[in-house]
Amino acid sequence: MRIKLSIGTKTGVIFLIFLLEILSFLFAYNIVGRRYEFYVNRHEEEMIEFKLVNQLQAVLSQMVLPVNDFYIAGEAQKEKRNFEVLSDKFGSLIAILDLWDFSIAEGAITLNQTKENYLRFKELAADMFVISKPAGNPEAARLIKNMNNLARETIFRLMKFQDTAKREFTKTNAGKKRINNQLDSIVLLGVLFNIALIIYAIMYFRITISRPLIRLKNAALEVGKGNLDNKVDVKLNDEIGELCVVFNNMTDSLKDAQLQLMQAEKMELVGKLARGVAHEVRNPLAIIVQGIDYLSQTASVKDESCTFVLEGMSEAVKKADSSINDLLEFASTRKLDVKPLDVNVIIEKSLALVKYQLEKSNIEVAAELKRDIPSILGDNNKIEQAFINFFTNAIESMAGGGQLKVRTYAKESTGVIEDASRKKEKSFKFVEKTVVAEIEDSGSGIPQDSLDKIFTPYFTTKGENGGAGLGLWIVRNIVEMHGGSLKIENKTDSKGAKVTVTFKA
Amino acid sequence: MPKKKILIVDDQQLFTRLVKINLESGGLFEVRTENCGSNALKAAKEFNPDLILLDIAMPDMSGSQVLQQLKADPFIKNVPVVFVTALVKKEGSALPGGTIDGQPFLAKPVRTKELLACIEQYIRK
Repeated sequence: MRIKLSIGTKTGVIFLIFLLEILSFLFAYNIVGRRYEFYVNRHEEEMIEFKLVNQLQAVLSQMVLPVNDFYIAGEAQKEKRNFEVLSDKFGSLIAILDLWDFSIAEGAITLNQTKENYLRFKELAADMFVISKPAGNPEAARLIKNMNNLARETIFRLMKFQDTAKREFTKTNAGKKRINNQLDSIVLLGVLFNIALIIYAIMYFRITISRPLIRLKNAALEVGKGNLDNKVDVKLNDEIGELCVVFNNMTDSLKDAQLQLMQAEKMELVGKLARGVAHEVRNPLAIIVQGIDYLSQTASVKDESCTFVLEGMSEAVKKADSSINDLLEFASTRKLDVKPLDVNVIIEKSLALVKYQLEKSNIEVAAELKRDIPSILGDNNKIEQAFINFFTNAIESMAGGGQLKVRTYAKESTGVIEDASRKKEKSFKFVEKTVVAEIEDSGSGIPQDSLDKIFTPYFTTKGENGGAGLGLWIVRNIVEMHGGSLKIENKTDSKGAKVTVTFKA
Repeated sequence: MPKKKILIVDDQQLFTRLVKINLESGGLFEVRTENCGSNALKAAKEFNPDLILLDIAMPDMSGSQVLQQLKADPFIKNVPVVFVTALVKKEGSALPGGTIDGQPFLAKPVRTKELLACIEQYIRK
């Protein structure tokens, strides 16, 4: 399937790719960036937890001191106050920690344990401080032992949690590093991709726009210098491609016009020459003819050799005159009186003009003329002359009778310019409307060794009785002057020759 | 019956002489020859022909110019003129109604019988 893309669309597609690329880059950056933020926040939280846990440990280790002092020295009021200050401090730290959302499960467990232990510690402390003489009191000794154990256990737990938190912290740091690397890779990838895309866009526009335009410019310069054979070899399926096709068509038309001009000049010269030759040859011929007429009258009627000689001379003059006639005929083809013409009408008129010869030679005519063919631009008389020539040739080749087939039809030639320079399947189609006329006879055909010479001037297969051998040469000139083409071949399936004339519609 | 008078104007002397001989041999015509285009009018005025045979390509004056002179003269303008020329295609002379400058024409080389037929057709009755 061939899709036609305009330059605008192509540019749009490239910009769309740019946009998508930027969007996907932002998307990737955003996702990774969020994960980065997550890690950063976690990190900070853990830091705070870490500090708080340190404080908890410190306060707890201090909380044991007033209780121990009380056990040693008494002074319940003073030590109780000291204890309560520390206890409140501990409680508020626990309350802060209670607000945290721990990233490690152990955090919450440790906190709960610590809370329980704290409450138990407070209970034990309350029991302790009501004892009036703690020193040596076994109950006090038991309480203090329990409290010390409880504090130790709690501090141990907190330390264990710290260990775990430290490990997590290391992990977080590694994650942060990894994310940093990922972000670096994304940025690098994005930059590389952008560079590649820019290079591609530059190359693309160079290949699809700059280069063809430079070629077109060079071709235009060549045309300016008069070189019309220079074709622009660019086959792109866009406006530039169309421009190149139009440019090539333009140079073709110019070339045609130039050829026609050259042909016209040539024909002008041929015309002058023909008129000169006609004058120089026909005047002596006229004298010879008058001489023959005079001698015919005066020579002895009975003198057979004299009559024979005079008849021979007369024939020779006729033949020479016929050559001059053909030459003048050819020379007169240089002027075309161009009008829109219906090929069918011309064929019918030409057939009517050769009707007598057709009937005399017992030739049956089978005409198959398509009525809907387009008109052609041409000189009525010249084209009629061409058809009469084809019909006369056909009649002469069918001396013993036969069939003359005439066919006309419209044809649309579709040409395809393939892109040979690139492997991709890119090409352009152009349509040319033509009118085709085919004339087939059932005659003797053209001798194989003469086929390539039939258009040569003064070549004839008709021997002594034929014309000067200018007929087909003149006819081909007429057809070519009309921008048409002429093909004459022997039929392959049966006897006879086939003429195919193609005119531009 | 008096002989019909024919003037032939052509630069080819031998041609005009032979035409004169051939046409006069029948005893019906009196032929005067003139080999110079510029003398044609003078000759026509002197001779007062019933038909003029006129060449086209002559060195001093073209047949068309001679024709203009002849047609400009009140005495000669009604004399029929037939062109005899080497410059037309043979088929042209056979076309009915074919003319050059409004005059009928014959293509060289011309047979005496063609000349006679033409004279018969166009001569001033």
